[in-house]
Amino acid sequence: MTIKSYVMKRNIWLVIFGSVLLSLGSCDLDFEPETTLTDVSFWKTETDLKGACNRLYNLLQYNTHDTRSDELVRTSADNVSSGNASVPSSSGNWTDPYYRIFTANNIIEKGINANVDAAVINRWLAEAYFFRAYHHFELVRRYGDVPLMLKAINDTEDPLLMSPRSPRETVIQQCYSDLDFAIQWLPDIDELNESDWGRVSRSAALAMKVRIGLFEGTFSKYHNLSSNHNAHLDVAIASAELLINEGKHELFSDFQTLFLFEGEGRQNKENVFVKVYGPNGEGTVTHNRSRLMENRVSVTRQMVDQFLYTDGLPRDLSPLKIEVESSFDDVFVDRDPRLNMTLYMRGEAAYKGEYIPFSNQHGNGYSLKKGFLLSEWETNSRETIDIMLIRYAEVLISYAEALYERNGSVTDEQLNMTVNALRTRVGFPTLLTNAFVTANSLNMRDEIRRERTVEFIDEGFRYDDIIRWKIAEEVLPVDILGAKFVDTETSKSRTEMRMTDADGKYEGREIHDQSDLIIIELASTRRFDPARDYLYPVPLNEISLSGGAVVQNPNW
Amino acid sequence: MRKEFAKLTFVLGLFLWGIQAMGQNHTITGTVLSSDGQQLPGVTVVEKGTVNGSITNIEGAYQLSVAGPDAVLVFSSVGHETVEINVNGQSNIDVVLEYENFGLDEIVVVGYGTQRKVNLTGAVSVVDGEAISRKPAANVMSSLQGEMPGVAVLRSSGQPGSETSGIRIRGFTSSNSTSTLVLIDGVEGDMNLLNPDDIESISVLKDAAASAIYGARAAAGVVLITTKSGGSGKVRVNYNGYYAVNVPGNMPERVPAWEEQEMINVARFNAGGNPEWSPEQSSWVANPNFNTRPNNGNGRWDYFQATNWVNEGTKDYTTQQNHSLSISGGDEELNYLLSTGYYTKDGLLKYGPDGYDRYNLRLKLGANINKYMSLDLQTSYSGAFTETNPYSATNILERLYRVRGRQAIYVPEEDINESIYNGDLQQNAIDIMKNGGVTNNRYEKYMGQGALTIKNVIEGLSLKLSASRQNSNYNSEVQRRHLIWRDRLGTGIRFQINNPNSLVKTKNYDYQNTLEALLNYEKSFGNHTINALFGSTYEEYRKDEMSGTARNLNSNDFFSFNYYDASEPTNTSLSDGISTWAMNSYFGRLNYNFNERYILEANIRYDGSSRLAPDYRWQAFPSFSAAWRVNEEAWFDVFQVTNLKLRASWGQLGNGAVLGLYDYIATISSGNHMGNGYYFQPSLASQSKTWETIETTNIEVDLGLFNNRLNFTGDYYWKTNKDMLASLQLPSILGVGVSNANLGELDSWGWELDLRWRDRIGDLTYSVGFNISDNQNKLVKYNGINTINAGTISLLEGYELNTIWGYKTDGYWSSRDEYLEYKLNNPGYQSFSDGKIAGGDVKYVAQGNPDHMIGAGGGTPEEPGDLVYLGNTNGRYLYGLNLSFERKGFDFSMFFQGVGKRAFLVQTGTITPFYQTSTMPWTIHRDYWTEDNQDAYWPRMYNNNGDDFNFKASDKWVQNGAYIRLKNIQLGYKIPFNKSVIENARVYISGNDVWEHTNVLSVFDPEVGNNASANYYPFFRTWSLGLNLTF
Repeated sequence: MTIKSYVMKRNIWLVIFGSVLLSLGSCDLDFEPETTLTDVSFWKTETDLKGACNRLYNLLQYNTHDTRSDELVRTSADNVSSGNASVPSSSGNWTDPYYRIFTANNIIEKGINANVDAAVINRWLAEAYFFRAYHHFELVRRYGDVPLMLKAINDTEDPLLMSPRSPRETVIQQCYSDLDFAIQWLPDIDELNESDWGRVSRSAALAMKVRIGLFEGTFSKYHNLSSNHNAHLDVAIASAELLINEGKHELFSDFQTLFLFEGEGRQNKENVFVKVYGPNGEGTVTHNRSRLMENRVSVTRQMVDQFLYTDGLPRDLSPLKIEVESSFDDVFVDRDPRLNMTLYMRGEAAYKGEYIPFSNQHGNGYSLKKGFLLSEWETNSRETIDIMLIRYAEVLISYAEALYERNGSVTDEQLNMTVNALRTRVGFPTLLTNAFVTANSLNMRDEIRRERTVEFIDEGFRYDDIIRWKIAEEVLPVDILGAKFVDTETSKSRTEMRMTDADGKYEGREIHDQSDLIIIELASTRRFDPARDYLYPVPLNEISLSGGAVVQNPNW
Repeated sequence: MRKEFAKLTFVLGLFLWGIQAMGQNHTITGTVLSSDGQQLPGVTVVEKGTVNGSITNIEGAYQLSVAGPDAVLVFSSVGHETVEINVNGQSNIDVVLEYENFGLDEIVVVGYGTQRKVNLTGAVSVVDGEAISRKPAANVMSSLQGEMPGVAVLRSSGQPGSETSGIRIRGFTSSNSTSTLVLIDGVEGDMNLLNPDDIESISVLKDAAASAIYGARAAAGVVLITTKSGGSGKVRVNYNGYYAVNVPGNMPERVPAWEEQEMINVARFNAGGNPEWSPEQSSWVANPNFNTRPNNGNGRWDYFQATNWVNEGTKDYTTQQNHSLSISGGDEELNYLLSTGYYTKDGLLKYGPDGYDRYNLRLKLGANINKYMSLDLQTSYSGAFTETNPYSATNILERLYRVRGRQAIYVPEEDINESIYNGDLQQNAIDIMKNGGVTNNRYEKYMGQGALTIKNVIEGLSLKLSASRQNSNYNSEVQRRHLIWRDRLGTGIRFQINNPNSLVKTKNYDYQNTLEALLNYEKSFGNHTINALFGSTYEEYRKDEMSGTARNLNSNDFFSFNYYDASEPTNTSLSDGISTWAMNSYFGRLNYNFNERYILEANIRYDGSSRLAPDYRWQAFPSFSAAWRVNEEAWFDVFQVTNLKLRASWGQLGNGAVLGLYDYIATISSGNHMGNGYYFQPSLASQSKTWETIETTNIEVDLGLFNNRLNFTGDYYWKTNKDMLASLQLPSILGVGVSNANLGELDSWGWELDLRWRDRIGDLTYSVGFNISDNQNKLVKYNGINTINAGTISLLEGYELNTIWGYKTDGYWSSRDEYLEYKLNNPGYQSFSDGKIAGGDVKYVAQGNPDHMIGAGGGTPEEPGDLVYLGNTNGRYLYGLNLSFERKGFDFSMFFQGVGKRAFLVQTGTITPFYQTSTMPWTIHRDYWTEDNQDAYWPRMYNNNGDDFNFKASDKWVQNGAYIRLKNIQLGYKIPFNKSVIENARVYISGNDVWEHTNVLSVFDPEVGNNASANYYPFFRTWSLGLNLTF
């Protein structure tokens, strides 16, 4: 090899190496997501806004069969109802609403810049405002004071993250103003086209104000809060009157089918705000309400005793009461028709054939019939009946209660458009009037509350009601009673069942005036601390992560 | 980029065409003897600097043709010193080989090159390929278990194709997932797709000195796998195969149906309810002649059968087999190796699909084109095929454990239903196995690699250019058949699954291109030797996946997108996803060796990644190391010490395993709600995120005694992860996910010892190896996170990862009265579920004065309430012990492996009978508390209904996960054949995981993960019979 060729070779060699290095060096490291939208490219069109709002409905939940009160029991004690709850480290009750509030805030902040008319923007922003109020209220109901979040935080260093709990009054006032925006910009319920059924409307926003006003008004009143409870009641009354006067809603004719497929859609004018499930028969978004009726919950004897007799009198006063019950069915005799619309009598076609007390369902109380549909039960937790989150009956009964709590009285006319409208719908023969109350030494407040309780069994109201009425301390730490046990009416055996004796006693204690009532839970295993249990405990993590800005509720 | 790649491949192809063959003309014969005079068979004789070679026969004789009379012959044999002899025109050369001074000349594969083991300055462990291929294991990863100190193999289950979940080198380097970088012949790959017989050697780079050359991806260690290449000499055909029987290891056993019914009754009564069934009804379950009666009340049957579902649904044993065949050969210019492999294993489920198959094909060509150039080409195919049930094997196992024993498999004959299977109380797992459908996953990977080496143009300088491309195709098809179980009348549906039926097809195609240029320079002057390396690489990856789903197919037995109810929009869903990343790197190494005594080395790598925001994209990772070979010093003269080396290293490594592809960009996710799209921002973008940087320091002593028969290596290391990516702990009022940020700090430290003795007594060769390692860690900084509750806390500032916190217990309350009295004497004391407590419930001990409700107090380690520290789930003192003997064709080995210390918890729902109505008790639960059995292990039976009051994490339930296991025992025999026909024939019988000792609850394997559950797929004990043949 000559020197020249040697040098040549080395040069070639250097060229090869240099060019390889250069080509590697110039390689590209800039990649962008090709199948995922970025925040910058979104938030432009009405489709984007609507799509973002769809997330709010996707996150919206419905809690089936609330067992936290004395209304429904499971086969073992509910920790809230029995006073056995402890402080959790973290809890979806706290986390989930804030997750939804961020979603709403994000729409409110970024949707405003979309390239569409301001009115169109506001129509979608109004949905976000509605849900921001909806979820803030959800938090207040459980925790009282909570941090108020009105911003979609984009920076993890934002000092807002260390916010302390805002006074509940502040949060509630914000809910009102969010709902006012929603009332102004949301479409009328009749303007929703069929494919948009389930979206919130002006009606839903008005009804939410009724719900919040009544809750906060009565809670403030009975818990002696410093806020002006009458002002909240006035919000409830005014909103209810507006909704009633707009005449968009009326009661559905049939209480029994109201909760089934017959009650779906705008044709049922009682629907105010509905969580839509479906598509029907093909369920991709489903629940398991019927399924859980069979194997999770039953109604307590306490609730059954709340139902009036056909003479309009409660159990302790009515001569129609059967003094010594000898059958499971005796409680149904001469009662408010809603009792048998709510619960099964023996022999009715129920979950797995004819209804047999204690045998073909799991609970030892009375079994739910309201909302049950065998064909839905058979889908095995793929049920698609839409669930009413707000129905017009609530607006009516809340209106009556708010009027009474605000004014200390209610007129017969007002009773007729509310309480008596509900009674008339189910064919209950006796109406509630001021005269009837006086004549029978009843208490008008108790009768309105009773009406609410029996109308809305298993619709998720009872727990909030006993909290705001401040009666949880009376109705929770008691023996929880089930149905009447009659040996010949069931395949279950009496042995080992815990029930009242011939005098209605158990271990010497006075329990009830009937014998052989199943005692589902003993009073000795239940407690309610009025100084503590009217509010939920704040999850420990939230306190520590806020650096102590968030403080625990009293006595937890 | 793709263009460059194509060009390079073309050039490499041209070179291959240029290969020419040359003839040989000088023949040499001779005999090789050992120093004690025995004829040595199997000695490799190679013409130096070529691939031309031969092997001695049974008499120790050889014959070889060489290029000329001035050739040099190299004689080498395992266990003997290698000898080089100048031919000098001789035609007969007899040689005596001394027994080897073990290990000194071992060559070790390191990053971008090789090094003599004695000159290493970093921590590298090596496993010989034979150690892998000799162990009949499910995959390469599982056969690494216990082989090397500091290398922990994480086993997940016995499920075919899912046996291991990863390896962890030197404990945790991060609280995030860290994946070990596995490079197969220099290209990133999956070791479990390899044919174990293809492996020449495995090097594990453990410290920064060894792995800093791999920079940003090296923090969790680097595994370098080198595959076998063709050798010179005659054509060799090698077959290796085994047939194995797998017997399931520890599994929970169920109690007979009548006993179960009794427990249910007791549990319900204890929970204040009524027994489910009357004594009479319960007694029918035990009566073999009375199995059903119609229940007229609800249109169902009442069943009183006694079925052992677990036995009915699982096999007693399963099988697995592996066969690999390779052909290799070549000469000085060209050598080749072609290998094929087939592996198959079937699963535990008695019916339906449950199995895994793997196919391998590899072709390697090596060509010395001329004095200046050589070319290596390689192509390979791997195919992994898994067949499972879409309901998933673990869910099926769970159903087998959950279904009531009294539920029969079949409905009574007089039943009018279309299905013969009984799904009355629970879904029928047998029916699901047989008729629930099938999931087929097919993963096929192709790889092509070419490397051109130019050398000798300037003395000591070489350039290697290589390019590779890996392509893979993934095809998954899930067919879910709709199954319905009806009641007796056929009208009511008791249960159903896969409603509606559906077909999901997922397909992806990906590729990964790697381009690499390496420049190497080696030069000696006097006592100084310098070795310098410079290189750069570019890698790019792209995956394009698409998935389609159709629901409501016209038939339950014909699955095609052409036949489904397309009228409903919710019956269709489509999605696609493209993932891309690229990485560009420059790296260099400088190695200086003074007189074989002092060795210094420096490495650096500069990495850039597409995953990071442009401003945070590039980072350098340096390392420095030094070694002192004390025994080379003139003054060193210590009796029998043949090797003494001290070494130290320091460096920085990166971990990017948790970096998402586009974390720095805020993205919008989408979903479908009843046919309507919804869009949302799932988490905030993180602009400033970058790699975790792990600083590692290592010191090591190497000691060889008695001619290196005894080898000792001891290491101590500590690492600090300074910028650990930690999820920001923020109050949930934020309401959106946050990406993690570089704000954590993790310290990790440990030691490793490796001790090996190899010798022979007469014709008995034996070796004993023992290795042990320990690693501890401490989460120094993690955004102040310090909340604890009962259970495993993975992240806790000031503590190690995965600590267990729980309550102290003191046996059981003997009665409710005792509890009430205790409360009376200790006002304020209250246990969980106060109202329920009675005799046989766990007595929780309050910390401090028992004047409060048992609980987590402030929920921090400072204010732990009644929680106490109960250990952690990280294994410590991992060890392996290897014994082997070889004599007159027989070989025997035993390999023990274990963990000295580990704690873990069992999932509450698994350990708690009747945690839910459907959680059934097992035989271990028989020892439950009753008035007459107050000394019981288990608390009283209780219908818990989701309340875990007796099963809170506590000292009672935490498991001591220490174990020792006979990982492998093997006996082999070399059948003496005529070497000219069959060079080597070895048969062996081998047992894997055949014995262990542990204190873990007997139903679990000690290697189950934390929060073990009932439905884990059990590990197997494996017995295999194998044959290794070489022609």
